[in-house]
Amino acid sequence: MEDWSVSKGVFAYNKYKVGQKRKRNDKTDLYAYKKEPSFLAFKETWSTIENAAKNANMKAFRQILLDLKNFVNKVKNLPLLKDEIPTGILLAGVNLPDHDILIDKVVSNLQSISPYIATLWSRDCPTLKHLTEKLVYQIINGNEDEEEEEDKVVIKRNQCTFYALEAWHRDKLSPETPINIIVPDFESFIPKILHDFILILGSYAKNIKFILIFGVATTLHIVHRSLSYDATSKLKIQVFRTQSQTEYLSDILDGLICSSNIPFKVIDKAYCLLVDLFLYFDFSVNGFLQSYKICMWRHFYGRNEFKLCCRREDILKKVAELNNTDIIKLKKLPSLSVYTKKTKITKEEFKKLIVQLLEEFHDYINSFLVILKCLHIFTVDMPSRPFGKMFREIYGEAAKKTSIVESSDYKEAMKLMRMWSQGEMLEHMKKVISVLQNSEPILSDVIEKLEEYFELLKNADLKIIESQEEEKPSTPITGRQIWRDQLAKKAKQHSQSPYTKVLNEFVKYLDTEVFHVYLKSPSEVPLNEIFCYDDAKTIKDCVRGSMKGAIHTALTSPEEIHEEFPNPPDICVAYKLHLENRKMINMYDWLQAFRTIVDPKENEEDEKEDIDPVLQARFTQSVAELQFLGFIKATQRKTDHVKRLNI
Amino acid sequence: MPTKKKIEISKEDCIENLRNEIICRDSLIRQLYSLLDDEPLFSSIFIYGHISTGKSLIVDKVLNYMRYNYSIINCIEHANSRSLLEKILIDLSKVKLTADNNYKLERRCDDFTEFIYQIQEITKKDERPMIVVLEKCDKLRDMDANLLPALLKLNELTKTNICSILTSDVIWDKFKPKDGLYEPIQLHFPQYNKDEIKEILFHTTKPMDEDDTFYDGYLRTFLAVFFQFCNDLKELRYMARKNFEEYVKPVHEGKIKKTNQRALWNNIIKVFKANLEVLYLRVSTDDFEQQAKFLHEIESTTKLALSFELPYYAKYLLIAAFLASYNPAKEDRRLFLKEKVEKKKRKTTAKKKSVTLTLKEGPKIFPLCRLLAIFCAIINSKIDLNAVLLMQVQSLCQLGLITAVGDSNNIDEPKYKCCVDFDFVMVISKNVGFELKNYLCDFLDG
Repeated sequence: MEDWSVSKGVFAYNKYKVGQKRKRNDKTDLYAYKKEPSFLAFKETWSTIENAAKNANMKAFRQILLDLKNFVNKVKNLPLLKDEIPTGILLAGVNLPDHDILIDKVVSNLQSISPYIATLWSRDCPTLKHLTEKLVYQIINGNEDEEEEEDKVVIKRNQCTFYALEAWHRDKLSPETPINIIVPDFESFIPKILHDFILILGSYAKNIKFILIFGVATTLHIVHRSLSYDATSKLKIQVFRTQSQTEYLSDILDGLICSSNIPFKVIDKAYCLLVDLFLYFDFSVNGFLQSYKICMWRHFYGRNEFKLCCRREDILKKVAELNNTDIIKLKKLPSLSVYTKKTKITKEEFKKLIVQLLEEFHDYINSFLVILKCLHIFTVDMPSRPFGKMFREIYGEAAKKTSIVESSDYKEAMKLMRMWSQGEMLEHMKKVISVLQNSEPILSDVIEKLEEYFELLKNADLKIIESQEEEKPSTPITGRQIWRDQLAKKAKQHSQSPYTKVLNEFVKYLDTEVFHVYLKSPSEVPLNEIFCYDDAKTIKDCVRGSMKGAIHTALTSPEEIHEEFPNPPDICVAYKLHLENRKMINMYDWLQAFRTIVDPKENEEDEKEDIDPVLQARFTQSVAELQFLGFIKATQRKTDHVKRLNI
Repeated sequence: MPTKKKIEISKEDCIENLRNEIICRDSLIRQLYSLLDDEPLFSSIFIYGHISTGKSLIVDKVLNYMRYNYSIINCIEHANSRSLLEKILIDLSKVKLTADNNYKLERRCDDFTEFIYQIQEITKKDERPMIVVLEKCDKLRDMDANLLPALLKLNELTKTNICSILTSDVIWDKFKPKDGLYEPIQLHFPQYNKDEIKEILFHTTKPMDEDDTFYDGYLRTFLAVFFQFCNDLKELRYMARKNFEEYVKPVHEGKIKKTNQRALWNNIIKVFKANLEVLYLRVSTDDFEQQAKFLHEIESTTKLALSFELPYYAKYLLIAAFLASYNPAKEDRRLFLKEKVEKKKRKTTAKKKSVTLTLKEGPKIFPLCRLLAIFCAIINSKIDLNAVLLMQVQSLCQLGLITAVGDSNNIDEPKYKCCVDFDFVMVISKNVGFELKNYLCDFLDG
């Protein structure tokens, strides 16, 4: 996926971290990095992620494309409709930066059914004349073979009129051949233009069959709000909807997280940051993927040993490729310290250990995801939804540094599970068992146990059996409190039906032997550094285009941007000095302070001497620059003072 | 010169001939016919009437019947006079646009002098009287200033037997410039009354195999409901077709007998009611339930607001925009500052407060920095104003929730206006758990 953006796409990211040192080494090959093992590993992983995203895309669009195709097909086979234009409205969702992909898909899909398609973007059509030209040009010339020379176009741009189109249509096509007009960004059009456009189409609908497709980002409402009745009465609208953006993200994430093909995982705070960025700021799936890409890039960059982040089949090969520096680096990984500290190990032994640990990690992460899915099934229907509706939410919880089983939500969930009725419990268990059976590492002992409990729970009696024998108090009742406790305990025992007993047992089993075992936090597992990325801070700098922060760092520590400054630039000096002031800044004092820093020698000699005009000019210039950047503002309140903004 | 009687005969002939297509317009056809039958032709005729009163249809059919050399132009289509004039010439000279002539005229027609010359050329070949019909001629006012006056006096300018017919739904008085204009002959097309509409619907929408009296009964019930809300023929025609399918369904299924009007009425009333709501919307879905869903969305602000899928901060931005639009700027300090600001007491407090609520006055313009300041104030957590967030402002603009006001080049201090109403924002703020009323001057003071 290229890093293109759409007008509606609202994501911003920097390709490099602001303030990051960029080494300029002209001698080396510019593309040398392409041969680095880390880059190769990055590329390989990214291509799998890209494929997963593409699949999710396809899944998301398939239904709507199918519907549209049917719609066009239906219209195509109808006789000429004299007084109405069939119109498809594609409700594509607010902030859909993938609008472009969708429209491209629509065009390529419809091409096979009816090849005469014109796409009209609002940016190309500021007036009706432009719109007409664009439309007619695309329809008449667009379908010519590409081999033809440009000067062989059938019709020149300035001759593109509707009557030319009509003549051409009569000349070349049968009257039933539809002409498809796609307007991808309905909202951005000037309503009047569209209104007139529809009226014109209406007047030609006697002879040409048009099909209009509007891409609407907001709601159907907008169509009726921007077009008056005389235009809409010419249309026959059919509505198509895409799924919502949050669902779409969930689909993509499910593809990314749950796929065992993708060893790379974003966890903990970095994951939360990415999801938050999506939910709070833009709703842009494409932006999310790009951020994910940056995470990966950051993860691999300069770390050749991380090529071990690969599929299970390639582990042996990759481990064999490790060189000495890689091994030294690997030994320093914090999660390996337990192994490396104890005894001295040879290179071969270490490699063996690595292979073993890598395999263990793969086992761990796969079973982790499967069991997490099970927990999700159990919790999703709970009344308070302790872990949210979507799988991505529970994943975010589980991928934190502290294990999910320690959280209060988890305890709450376990408590709620004990209250389930038989029917509910059995239904959930059925689902869980089928998930377990269908997913990759088959945890046979868990399945067995679950099936056992399933039978037990199914057959368990719901009635409370009164225990006959009278229990004698083992200890003499010494206090009121103890007596009360004992009574409560007894009441509990008495009121428990066999079903409740089995249920309690089952929940306890799940809790201690399943969830506690499998749902360890990824960051507790050895070698997690290779697979998991959690550096939220770096990502924050990269992904969130924080302009103020960037300007501040640039002005306070210029050496981070450019190391070759002998002295800090004047503006940095002026900026730092201005930070020391409060609301008002005295220009003279500021100048004096500036002078002391920039030219300390002169200062020592004679304080009251006139200021060097060059110095003053430099000062004035930097003040002007600060004003331009919006840090200060001239004020009438006080003479010789400027006002400081954004304190 | 035909005698008067002859004219009468041919006129009635014409009406008879057009009977298949046009009904209820006999007197208008008669009038138009006599206007057009004159020799030489009148220089111009102005026809006005509401949309779908049969203007275009009747003019087209009558001209077709009279076998004149005529051209029908839709004025919206032509952005400049060149394309308009060329289209007239193409129609009148009967040039066929093909790939051989690259779909264009041999001679360009850039101005009126050339147009007059070419019209004269055409008369040399084809001596029939010529008619130029200019539909939606109100658009001509926006084109070159000489175009409309010249088109009104075509016969004088070209010295040929030519007449221009202008049709519009705007009355002639709106066309007159200050310095006057040649007055064309005016013809008014009144709207159809209920009986006429019924007759027209009967002729245009009745399925071939349907019983006459049965359909007549249907139309009577249909119009009883619909006519009081809509008297636009086109819409009624559309609705009549749409509803009839439902009406006749139980009859086909054998549940209700054709003669049992009452049962049919009870059956259809629900459909009528639902379709009355979608009048003019033209949303057709095969699924009746889905239609109801869309309808709800269009109808209620709540549903509409909820159907907008906005990111969390974008919702707050929208609320901030609303607050900025409907609160006076001088109250900001009092509304949004955490610690209470004591109002400076002035001696002259005798001035009466204006009673008008700001909510009633419509949105005011606010600069971007005020929007951001309010946004930061109403959002509880500390927030970083980054580029992703600022792009949301633009995104809201594109969605039509707020609009940029004034020059778009003003990048120093862009100004905006909130375009959504109170109810809408109320829903949004409920959705994010924000107490909107605590921050609106109107609710605090009143």
